[in-house]
Amino acid sequence: MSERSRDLTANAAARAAGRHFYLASAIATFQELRHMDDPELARFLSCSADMLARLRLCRRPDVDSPDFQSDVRQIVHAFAVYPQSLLQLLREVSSIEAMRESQPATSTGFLMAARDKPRRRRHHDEEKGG
Amino acid sequence: MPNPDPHRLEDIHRRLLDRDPIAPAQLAELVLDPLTTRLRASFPAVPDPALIEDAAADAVLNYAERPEQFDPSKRGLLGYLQMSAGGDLKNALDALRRRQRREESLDVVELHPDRRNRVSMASDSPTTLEDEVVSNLASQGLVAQVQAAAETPKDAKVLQLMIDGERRTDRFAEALGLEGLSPDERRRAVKRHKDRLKKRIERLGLTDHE
Repeated sequence: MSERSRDLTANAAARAAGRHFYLASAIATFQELRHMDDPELARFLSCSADMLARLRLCRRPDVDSPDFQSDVRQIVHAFAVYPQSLLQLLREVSSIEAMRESQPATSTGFLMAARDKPRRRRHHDEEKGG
Repeated sequence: MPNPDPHRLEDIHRRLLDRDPIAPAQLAELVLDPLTTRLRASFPAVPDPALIEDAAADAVLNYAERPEQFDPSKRGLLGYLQMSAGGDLKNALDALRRRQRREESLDVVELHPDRRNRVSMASDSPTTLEDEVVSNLASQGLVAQVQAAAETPKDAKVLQLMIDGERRTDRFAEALGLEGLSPDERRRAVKRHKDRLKKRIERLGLTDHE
């Protein structure tokens, strides 16, 4: 893949983030929730940073679809990403989105709480420990 | 970049219809480069290459989402994408032109060369609409009112130079006693002074004449 093609693909992937159809949208939400940059995400999925743009341009597997497992398998096979990580990403984002839809007025508060949770737990553990 | 193999494109189209999750990524990889090249050739006057890249990306993303809208019996896939991106590009360019026109009507703008020549023959910086208005005041019997904007003799000299259509920084620097400054400092100081006077003229309500 030429450098020009890589740039064009990266641009398309960035534009796909606003479209629910694409895996890019799920990845963007996951990165937002986890405060994860691209190198961290690439490590999480066990793929190269270059591969991320192409991954983002895949159709997003629907967790409620009977084809979900097979779609994930195809992506894992094509991009050699770590299957458990991709499944986790898709399921986590899907849950968050479902909750956002059911609680539109408080979604921001909910997301903040979701983001704060690990930190609070650590803090709580520290308090218990010391 | 050569055009992609039509058989590969046909295969991708079929897989998109079958909701193959990989197909959109493979499509993008295959067509973005040749599509962008075609668009650049069709729209050579587009000022920002990013506009072309975005239009190409959106056309590919739209098609991959709704492949059933493409009828292979009518035209090739690359031609279809080019038409789709071209439409978006024209809309984006129209919007850009509308915005520029709006900004030009509000802001100070550079004049066309022929208008600039009419305003002044001795120019060393771009002529602006405000400059032209100030210059035209001389023929509208408003010189005395403009001169009222002068608070000091130096202001009066600068205003007179502006009314005369003077464009040379050195002449303004001379009127302001700034000869000792470096060329850059002189240019900035003259601009600051002229801007302040133009603001004052605006406040007097003398720049509505066109």
